[in-house]
Amino acid sequence: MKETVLSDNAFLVSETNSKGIITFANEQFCNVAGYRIEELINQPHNLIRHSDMPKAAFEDLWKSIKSDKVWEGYVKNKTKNGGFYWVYATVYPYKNEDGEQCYMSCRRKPNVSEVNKAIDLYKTLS
Amino acid sequence: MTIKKKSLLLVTLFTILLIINAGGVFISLNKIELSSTQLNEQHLINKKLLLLKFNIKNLQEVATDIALVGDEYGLDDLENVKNDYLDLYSEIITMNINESIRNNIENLNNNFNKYFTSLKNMATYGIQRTLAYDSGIRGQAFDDKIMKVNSEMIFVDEYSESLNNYIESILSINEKELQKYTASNDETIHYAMTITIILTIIFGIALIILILIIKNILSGITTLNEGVKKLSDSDETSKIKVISNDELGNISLNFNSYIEKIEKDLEKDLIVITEARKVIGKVNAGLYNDRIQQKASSNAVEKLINEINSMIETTQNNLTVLSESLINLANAKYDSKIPRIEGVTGLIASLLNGASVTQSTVSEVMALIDNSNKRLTFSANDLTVASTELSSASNTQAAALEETAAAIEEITSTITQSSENAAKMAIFATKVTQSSEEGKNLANKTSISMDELSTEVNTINDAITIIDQIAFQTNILSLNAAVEAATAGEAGKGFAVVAQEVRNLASRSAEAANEIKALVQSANKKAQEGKTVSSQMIQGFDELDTNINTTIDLINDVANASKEQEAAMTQINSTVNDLDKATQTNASLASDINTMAESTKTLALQLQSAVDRTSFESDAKRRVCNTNMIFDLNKLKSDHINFKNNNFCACKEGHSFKVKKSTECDMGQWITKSEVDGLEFTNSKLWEEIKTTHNRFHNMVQDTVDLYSEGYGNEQIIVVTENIELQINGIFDLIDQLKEYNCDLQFKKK
Repeated sequence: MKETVLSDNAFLVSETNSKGIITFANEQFCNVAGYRIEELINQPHNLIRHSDMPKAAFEDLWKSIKSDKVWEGYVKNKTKNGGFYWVYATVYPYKNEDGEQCYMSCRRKPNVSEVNKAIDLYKTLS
Repeated sequence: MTIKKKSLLLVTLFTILLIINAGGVFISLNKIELSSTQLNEQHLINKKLLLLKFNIKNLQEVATDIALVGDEYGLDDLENVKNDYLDLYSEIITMNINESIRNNIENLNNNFNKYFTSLKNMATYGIQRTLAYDSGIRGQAFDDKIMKVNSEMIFVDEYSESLNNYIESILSINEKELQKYTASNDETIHYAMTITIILTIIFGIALIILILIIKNILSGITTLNEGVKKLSDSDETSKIKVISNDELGNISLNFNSYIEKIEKDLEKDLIVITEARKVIGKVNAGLYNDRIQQKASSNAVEKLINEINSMIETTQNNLTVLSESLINLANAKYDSKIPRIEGVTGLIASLLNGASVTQSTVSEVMALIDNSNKRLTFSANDLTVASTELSSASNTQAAALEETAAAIEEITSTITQSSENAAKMAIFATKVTQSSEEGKNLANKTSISMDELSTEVNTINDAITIIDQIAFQTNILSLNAAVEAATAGEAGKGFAVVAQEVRNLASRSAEAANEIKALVQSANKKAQEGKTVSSQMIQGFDELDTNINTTIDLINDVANASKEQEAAMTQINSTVNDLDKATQTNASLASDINTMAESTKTLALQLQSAVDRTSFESDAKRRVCNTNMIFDLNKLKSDHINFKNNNFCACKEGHSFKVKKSTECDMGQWITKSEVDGLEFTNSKLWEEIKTTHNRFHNMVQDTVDLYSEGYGNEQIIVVTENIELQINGIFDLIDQLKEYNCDLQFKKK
């Protein structure tokens, strides 16, 4: 499986509703994930979830953002063609103008040594 | 006439035209269709009749072929062709044919049966002839057969001729029918063309009417359009000229009343805007108490006014909170909590955070002053006590110094005396040396005399040995004389007596010799002892000599030392004099110090009362053990407010840039340095939390820059900036906790 390494200035953004359905994805996110925007909108966010990611990591994520706290961490995602890429993600919970709960995820190129630590940690969790 | 009526007229006109057109076209087409159907039918009948003609001819040819060749299987073909004829006949007879043709065809069919019977006979005779020939029949019988065929052929020709005549006459009748229908068809087409031309002319007239009506409507629209255009081109609102009393005229009228409404609304909005400008002018001057009261006419303006009012309200509340916080700081209440306003970010949050940093810095400085001042008070007290002690000590010292001076004088005179005595002693010692030298010489002489005595005594000893030997020999000789005297009997009696006497003398000599020997030995021993004594004496003199020399040295040393002591005592004396002066100075200084300590105490008390009038965070005291750390870390706090403000200022759509990473800023460098230096607090959980929060803060500022740059909405940007404020507050709290933790560590070490 081929790894996509993000560029130094990469800024991948996506938004989901309270059910984890994608409502927005920026161009960089689409390009890296290998999907066209219309293939992502209205799809569940776990479309890009990689099987190496332990359940516990996402449980922690949902627990944080459901209690209105920012979550951050190292995440391995899969691309449309079966490859993968690592990101350092910050997930912000907020309400939009209509009062609906939204989650925005901002992703950046992660530090290699931190990724290696995450790989070891996730092995113990899964 | 209204456009509606005009349109209705047009619609009616065109509907009538359409009906006429449709009727004309329908009739023409119907006629054309009818005549062309008839024509087609006639053509079809003609075609079938020609086929019928061909079929009859074909039958004759097939039958003739069979008759000539005698092919008995040909009869089936003949039947087939006959069936074709029958099919054609039944087709024709069911078609729409006129009466004369029908009669002719029925006659033809009646003759056809005879014709076909004759054909079949001819074919059968032909076959019989061939069979006869094949079976070898010749002559008359065979000729009869040929004759039969030939005679039948003549019948066939006759029937064929007659049938052909029928067909030809039928065809000619049909030809006439065809011509009749063609002529009728042409007439129909001509009729249709006439209708088409008439309709086209009517349409042309209708079109002209249409154009005229449209032109009339268009001129109204153009006038309206020009009026509207004039409105949008000029600032002034002018009415549209009403030129017609149709709908366009109504539009113009309605438009004019709409413009009037807009004008009224604009006037209303202008009042609102004028009020808004007044209120904003006050806001710019710092007066936030007014709100825009007037109602705007349009929803959008009304919404804007509401938002402006809520903005002023929010800003007023925020600034009031900030002002209250600053007033508390101004009133030296450094412990009043700076409130956190929910949902506030950016500059206002920076102001509050700045106030908070100021508060904690001042609190820490106050705690520092408080701590130091308390110590200063103690020190000033100690100093007063010490200076009093110093003063009395100085007086005691002065008295002691006087005594010392007297003692020194005594010591000096003693030393001078000692010096003189030493000189005397040196002289005596020199004399003792001379006596000891004489003693030593005498002892030497005694020793030599003893040696000589010892030699003499030994000589006596040798002489005594000789005497002893003589006594021994005399004893033996006397013994021999006694023996001789005994042998001589009586004669020798007297001799025996003499011998006895000799023997007595001998033993007395021996005894005397032994006594002398013992005396000599004793003398020798004494001489030896005398020598030993004299040797010891010499040694004793030598030692005495050495001792005396040492004594002399010592005396000299004492003499020298005394001189040095004398010099030293002079110095001591001058030093004591100096000391005396210094002591007097000390005494006066101690008094000065006492005064100063008293005033310091007063100052410290004043300072303490100043500090006591302030109130500061009680926790601050637990953080102030390291002064440098207070100021360094508080600078790092305000650095982050600055960092946030500067980056937020540079944020705008389309402007992407990289903010400093968490390792690059001053705090990042301080973190790295602290870890490299192995500072104890870097091993704590707190430290990890500081690093995580700091890192998160930098990341979120970068997120803000990028969200701004990519043109995201307020919701997305504000959720990030609000979280940045949380991180800043977190960093501030953690830094304070770290200071406290560091102080705890230092305290434990002590």
